[in-house]
Amino acid sequence: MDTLRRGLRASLALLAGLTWLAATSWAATPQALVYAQPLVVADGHTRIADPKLKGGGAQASFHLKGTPGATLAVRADVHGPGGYIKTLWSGTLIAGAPPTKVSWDGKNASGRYVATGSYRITVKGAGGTPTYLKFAVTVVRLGVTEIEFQDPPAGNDEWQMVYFMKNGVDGIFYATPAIHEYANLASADVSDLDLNNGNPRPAVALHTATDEPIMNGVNYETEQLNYPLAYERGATPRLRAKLGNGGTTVGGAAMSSNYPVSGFDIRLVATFPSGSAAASGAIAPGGQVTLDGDPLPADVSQTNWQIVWTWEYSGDGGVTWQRILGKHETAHRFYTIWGDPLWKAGASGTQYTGPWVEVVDYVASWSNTLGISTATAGGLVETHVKGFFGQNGGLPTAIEGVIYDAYPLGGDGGANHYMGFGVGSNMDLSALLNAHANGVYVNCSDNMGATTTMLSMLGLPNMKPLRLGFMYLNAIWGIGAPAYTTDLWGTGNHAFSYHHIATRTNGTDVIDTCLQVDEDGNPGSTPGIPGWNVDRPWAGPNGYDQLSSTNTVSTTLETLPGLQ
Amino acid sequence: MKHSITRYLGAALLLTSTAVAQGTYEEHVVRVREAYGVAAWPAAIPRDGLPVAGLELPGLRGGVVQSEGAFVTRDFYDADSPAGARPLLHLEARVCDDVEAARDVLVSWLAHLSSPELAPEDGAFGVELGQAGYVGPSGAADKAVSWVAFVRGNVAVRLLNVDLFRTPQLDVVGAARAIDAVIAARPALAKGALPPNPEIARLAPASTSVVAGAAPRLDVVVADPRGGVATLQWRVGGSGQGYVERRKDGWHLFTTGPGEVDVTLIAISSIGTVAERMVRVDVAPE
Repeated sequence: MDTLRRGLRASLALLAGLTWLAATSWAATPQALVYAQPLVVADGHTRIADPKLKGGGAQASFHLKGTPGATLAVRADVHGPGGYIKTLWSGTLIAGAPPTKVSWDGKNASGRYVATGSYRITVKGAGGTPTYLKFAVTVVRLGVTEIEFQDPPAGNDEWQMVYFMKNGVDGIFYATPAIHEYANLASADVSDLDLNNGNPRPAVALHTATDEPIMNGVNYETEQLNYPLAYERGATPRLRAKLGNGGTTVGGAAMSSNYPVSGFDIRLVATFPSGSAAASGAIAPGGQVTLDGDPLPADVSQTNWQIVWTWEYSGDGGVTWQRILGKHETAHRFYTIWGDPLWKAGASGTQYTGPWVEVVDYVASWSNTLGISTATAGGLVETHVKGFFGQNGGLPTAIEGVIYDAYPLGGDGGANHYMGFGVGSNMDLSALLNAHANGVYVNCSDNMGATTTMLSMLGLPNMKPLRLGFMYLNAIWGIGAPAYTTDLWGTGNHAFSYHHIATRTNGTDVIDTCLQVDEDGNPGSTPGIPGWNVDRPWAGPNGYDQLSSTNTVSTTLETLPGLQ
Repeated sequence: MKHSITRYLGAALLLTSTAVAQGTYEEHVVRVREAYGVAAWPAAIPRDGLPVAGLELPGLRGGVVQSEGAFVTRDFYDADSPAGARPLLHLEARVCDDVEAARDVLVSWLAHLSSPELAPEDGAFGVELGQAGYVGPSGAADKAVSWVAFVRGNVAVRLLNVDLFRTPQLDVVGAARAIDAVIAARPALAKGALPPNPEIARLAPASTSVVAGAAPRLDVVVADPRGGVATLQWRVGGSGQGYVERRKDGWHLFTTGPGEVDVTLIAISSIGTVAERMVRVDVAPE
């Protein structure tokens, strides 16, 4: 009779545990052994745990069933393959009180992580006997070691980004590795998920420098990297995450990841900034999973993501999934560009791999500072022209602080300092972006070269140089200059021997970051009203030809320059 | 400040008198050649290059020698400046096959002056550089010089003063004089002879077919035409991706993306001539 009653009570307790389980997010399929006398009831526990995840560990919950107010002194201990590890909690259970929850952080009495393996949390009498409950806990090691950002299924929209400098020397190019833009490896270490002291290897911080890649002394870093990503506007990034193979014990020995766990599937879940989540199928150590993220903005901009990686397990073939406590977080920076980057025909070299980080960062920053949307091609051009020229809307100086190369401004008569001619006709954009390494002064060709190549690498189509012939000038405001002038050179010769601007409509409209024309109705004298040359019509009363010059100027379309 | 500029520029106002119809670069260059009297520049003999890597300029420390096509560039720094300091002087040079090509380079530099005024000749600054030399005075300070460009024989040189607000002013003209003297001291080339390029005798990867992430070693043999040490520079292109770095056991191609990786070795000889050679490596996905 007593045996029957005990069995019934045990069944009720199990039912109660299952009910509680369903109501909790962390609880696992109950695997506790339940002893009936006295009646300590299991409410649920973590079946699979990775204590090295942030917030990871194991939990168990139980309560005393019986006459309200009845008490029982108990202790909750952790045991492992080597026996007793430590006591998690000791105290008095009171029947009718809320369940008691105990947590284990996966560490031993010395505060050091245990190895992966099979463990159990026991609930015993205060003196160590009898054993009322045993909760089985499998400690595993989970983690992501590499992430490759890929084209979305819809198209070829992902691009590697380019840095233009190495060890302070401009003109040495590096493209972010296509095989993994994020890598958290250490080939000299014991394992790929942990440090040699057994602690988890931290996530790699985002590389925020825009000119130089991650260096390891004089060489490029190859194992610990987290580079920004470039996608075309509106694309949905696809991620291929590589899973770690194993961990390291506190003694410095390699340990397995200890999964798959018999009877359970484990899967990876990535949660993106919008709150959307993507889950993989069942995973195995060293495997790879492919997940799709959130759509990116439909403009040219910078977007930062914090991806929360979590793991779940299922004991019913994937019908229901339980969360493994803890998470791993990685930070990522996305730049969106207008379209496929465009380059000089036939050009080859790392500088043509994709958009330059510093260029996209500049335009995204200008858009924010100036409050100009880059969701349209015209807005992108306006952002570039006003940002490049600076001296407006919160931008105190022109790009890299450059100044038009005229004597009154300290210049030398308009020599080209960055745009090269002859063999190659390359724009030395890397020197310009390296804090104007060839000097602070620029002429029209330098501005044209920078503008055409920068907008082209963002994907704006049909950017071309437009070479203008001799020009008797009206009042102009040169880049970096304090005001309009009608005596550009300080010698009374207010003219250009030639001028270089840009166009994306084969000369019908023009783009000039070198100077502003005067829109006050009297363009021949100062002061002036700033007239930005953002797709300004070439012809007509408000056209560039008439506002900038007093003579009719000849034009020649040229081809997009190369890049250095 | 303005006074010194007008002193140098008061003479010729070449391009203001020609008004229109200079839309193309070629048309513009014709006018520039006429204005600067290129046809009257003295005859010259080609020289055995310019040892860019070996250049020593008083008070300056030379940086990395780089090439951009056939041009060779090098930044110079204050000799006492720490690593990471800004350069003071930027050198551009091209060792051409013949005298006329070098003159075309100088004309190109002059043709890209925005001002319609002629650049002053070097004589106005107390120096005679090569067969033709011009100086770009700056408005930054009295007697400041922004650039000097000249041609001696088959070698064209331009120096850019990177920091025009430095005190004291960098002696750019003096640096140009020193470089000109180095070129003048080079042996004259025999009639019809070309300045010799470096010879890239061997460029071979350990494997021409690898998996992305692999880093095959590159076997490189380069001979300098004058027995010096050639400067090596790498360009990596094609549909694949990677970079070249030197490790303890030599040069390696580090592959970072699948596709056809075209590895081009650019060798800059000790006399400033340039040669290229390319090899292709097929990189398969991981």
